[in-house]
Amino acid sequence: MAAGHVHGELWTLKELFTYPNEFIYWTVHIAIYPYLTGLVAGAFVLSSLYHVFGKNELKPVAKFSLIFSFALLIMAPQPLLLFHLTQPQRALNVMFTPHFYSAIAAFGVVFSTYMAIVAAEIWFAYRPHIIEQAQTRKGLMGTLYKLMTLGSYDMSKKALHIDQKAIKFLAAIGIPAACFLHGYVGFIFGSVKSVAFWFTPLMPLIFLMSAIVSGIALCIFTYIIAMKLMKREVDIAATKSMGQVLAWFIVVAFVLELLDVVAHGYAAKKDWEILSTIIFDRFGFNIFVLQWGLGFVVPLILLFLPTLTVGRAFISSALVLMGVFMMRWNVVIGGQSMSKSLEGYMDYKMPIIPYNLETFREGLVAVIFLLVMPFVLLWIFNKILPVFNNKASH
Amino acid sequence: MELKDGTVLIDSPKEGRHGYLKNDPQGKNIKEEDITKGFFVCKLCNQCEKPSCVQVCPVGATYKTHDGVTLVDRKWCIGCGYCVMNCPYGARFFHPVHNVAEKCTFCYHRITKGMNSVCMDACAFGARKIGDINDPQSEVHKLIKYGRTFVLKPEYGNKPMVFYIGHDHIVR
Repeated sequence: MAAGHVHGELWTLKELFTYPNEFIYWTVHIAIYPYLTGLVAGAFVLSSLYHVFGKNELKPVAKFSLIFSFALLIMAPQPLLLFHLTQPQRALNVMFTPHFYSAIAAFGVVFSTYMAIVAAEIWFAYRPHIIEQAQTRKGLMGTLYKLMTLGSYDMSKKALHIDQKAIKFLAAIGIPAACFLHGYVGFIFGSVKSVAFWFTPLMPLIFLMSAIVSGIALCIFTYIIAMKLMKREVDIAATKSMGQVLAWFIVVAFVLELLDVVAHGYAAKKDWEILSTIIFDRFGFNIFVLQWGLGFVVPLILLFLPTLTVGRAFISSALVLMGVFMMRWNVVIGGQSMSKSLEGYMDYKMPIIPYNLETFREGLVAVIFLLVMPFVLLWIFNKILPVFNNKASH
Repeated sequence: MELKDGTVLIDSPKEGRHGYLKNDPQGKNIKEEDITKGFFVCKLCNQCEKPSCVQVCPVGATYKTHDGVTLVDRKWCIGCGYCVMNCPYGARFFHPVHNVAEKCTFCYHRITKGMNSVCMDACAFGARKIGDINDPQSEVHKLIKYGRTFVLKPEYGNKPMVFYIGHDHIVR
């Protein structure tokens, strides 16, 4: 912490009447946290569409989205654990003395349960590949694969059949788990009664739907890039199917987000006077142009136009990813931008160039690290468990 | 302050650390004859009966004592800021040295020894009172029971335990 500064003072500008203790305490990391968590949920739902609901055209991306979901899952809590907490060394206190009246207390339980489900599903999906590698590879990688077999070398027909059943079961219970994971993230905001922009029972649903939207978009985006990089052909049936699912979830997410603003405006409680200036004025461009216009409406048109092309799918997914990030940003920063006095504003200036620990932790450098790491992890995982090689296992 | 044309100007320059030396709320020069009323309202932690900060602490580091004061365990707080977010009064902040969530303790270390809080002792005009609200003989009990007192933001349902005598509707 910088000498002479209270936490939050370095990046908060105040206008009119705000309470002396008020600052933007929840910064960019609190926007990235639900963003990454949402991508996890969305990627997992996509892989489950194949494993549980038998959408066979999604087979080429089923494993990829599952592994990507795991890479994202590892990074999802890091904005909080590594950068946001002022006492990161005490992060495990949440596990030791969880206070379950708090939405954040569920964090440890929900994340570890979900982590276990995804890890187990990956293990079953890759078991034949792991065994094959463990029996053929030597050296460090051989040892790694031997460890990953967990002592199971049974490749009989019966065992493989059980694998399939286990995958289907885990993918099925993973869907409500993914929904719970992201619903609870929405509840972290939706339960804060003193921030008018957040306090709505719709929040968990809004977060869940935009999570699925962003996760599917990221899979389309990364899948197309990966295929281009590997000079392989993009599976158009899979892309179309993903695009279709994406479009329908956009419709639901958009309706919910509109409903939220309409409900706030119609009820017009005493905070609406200032809240409306946040929505229509201060964050007007962010919400109406970036989040809804470019993030929802344009991709919807591109996706619903007949004969979806790879290019259109790619542009749509990139726009959706930007739009959902803006949604997280607008909710987190926008919510705090109006003072609890309802008579003043706060403006958040994200530290770009770090000049002390505080501006490093809460600044652009940390953001880039957090957003790049899932791709690095995916690249590493791909070395061990090939995500696009469908012949290796089932 | 409220002006004759109905404008309300509220300010807290430099968090009131240096007092209020000039009549220029929000940097505006106000003529004295335009003012209908002007006053200072001190804000502190409301020591709510149902503290929303305690409700959301994920690790139970902030808690309500048996005698009704809400405190923070500096050795257990993880610094997530959820309590800061959920306080309707903006009473919470981060301690600049200990780097954890912090709040007014009602001078718990003093009042539990039968002393007054420092703010009460420091007030030259005796405008602040502190005491056991449940004790029918205490001054605060009588003031609340028989006088006209008001609380800030009752709509949040926190049941604040800080009462204001002669509270004005323009107070935010």
